[in-house]
Amino acid sequence: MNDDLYDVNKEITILDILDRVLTKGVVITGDIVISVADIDLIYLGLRLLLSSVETMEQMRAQPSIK
Amino acid sequence: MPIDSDRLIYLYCVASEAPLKGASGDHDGIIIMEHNGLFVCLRHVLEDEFSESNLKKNISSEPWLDLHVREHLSVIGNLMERNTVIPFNFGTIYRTRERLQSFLDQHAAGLKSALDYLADKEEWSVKIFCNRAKIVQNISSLSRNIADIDLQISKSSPGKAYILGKKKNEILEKEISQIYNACSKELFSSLNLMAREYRLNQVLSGDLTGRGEDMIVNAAFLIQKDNVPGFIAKTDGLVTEHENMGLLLEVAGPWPPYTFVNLSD
Repeated sequence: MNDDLYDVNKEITILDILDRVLTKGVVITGDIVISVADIDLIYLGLRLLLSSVETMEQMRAQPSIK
Repeated sequence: MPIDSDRLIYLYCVASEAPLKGASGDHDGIIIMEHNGLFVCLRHVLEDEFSESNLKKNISSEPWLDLHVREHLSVIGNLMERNTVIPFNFGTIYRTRERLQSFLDQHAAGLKSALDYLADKEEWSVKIFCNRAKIVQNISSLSRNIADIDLQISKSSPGKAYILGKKKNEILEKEISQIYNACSKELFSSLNLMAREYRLNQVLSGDLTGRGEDMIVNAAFLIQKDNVPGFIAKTDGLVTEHENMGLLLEVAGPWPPYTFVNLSD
């Protein structure tokens, strides 16, 4: 992570970074660029990942059956 | 410095002046290429990793993506310490030096005027959250309508108080929305007074933020560097002023000015 990026509360998340470096910059250029469809897939992948982490945490929080 | 034409050219940013040696920090392989008064920060990358098909494959790997977008941001962040930059999106790649130069020639005027505009300014993001439980707890001091019902309840018979209590619950959600609306406008306006430009981004649901609090503002501000300490102090002040709403602000920056780059040509 970039140590110079000031954040009073928490570490900058991957979603915060992607919201800038993938979707906001100069959308021109490049012989190779990441397409809008690819960006959608990245977000979809990350959200599935985040939700699966959440599901795992919820499962862990379930009382175990003895 | 010559660019090896059999490898790909990965772009980070364009700067207005020649960055000092070592300005890109600890990152190896960073090259500054000068072309007609513009300084492009780039790196040679291998087809194995960054060809169109390989890049597509790699971005679906979360660890690869995480490592490389953070590196992208870090290289640009280091250069930003002393230079005004226009950042490129992650994964902007040219096949040859000639293709890159042709892009620079085509957009030279726009790049230079954007660099002039962005000089001495910084991009900061502000996300503002409200703690719903705290609002419900303090609702009678935040909502006139609820305060009126509470007053009537205190003067009513048990039967009437019960009915009024039900009415209070019915209007609670609407009152909270109105509080969020009014509060977000007020907070945004007071921060925007200190900024040169702003962009309002979509307010994200709790599912996406992973937080228990409700997001009420998601904004980016372009701020004159001299005003940044005052801006941060202002955000701290807002938290204190709105303690009864359980306000929480996430302030981050300086970001590369992704949100405020405007190439007009």
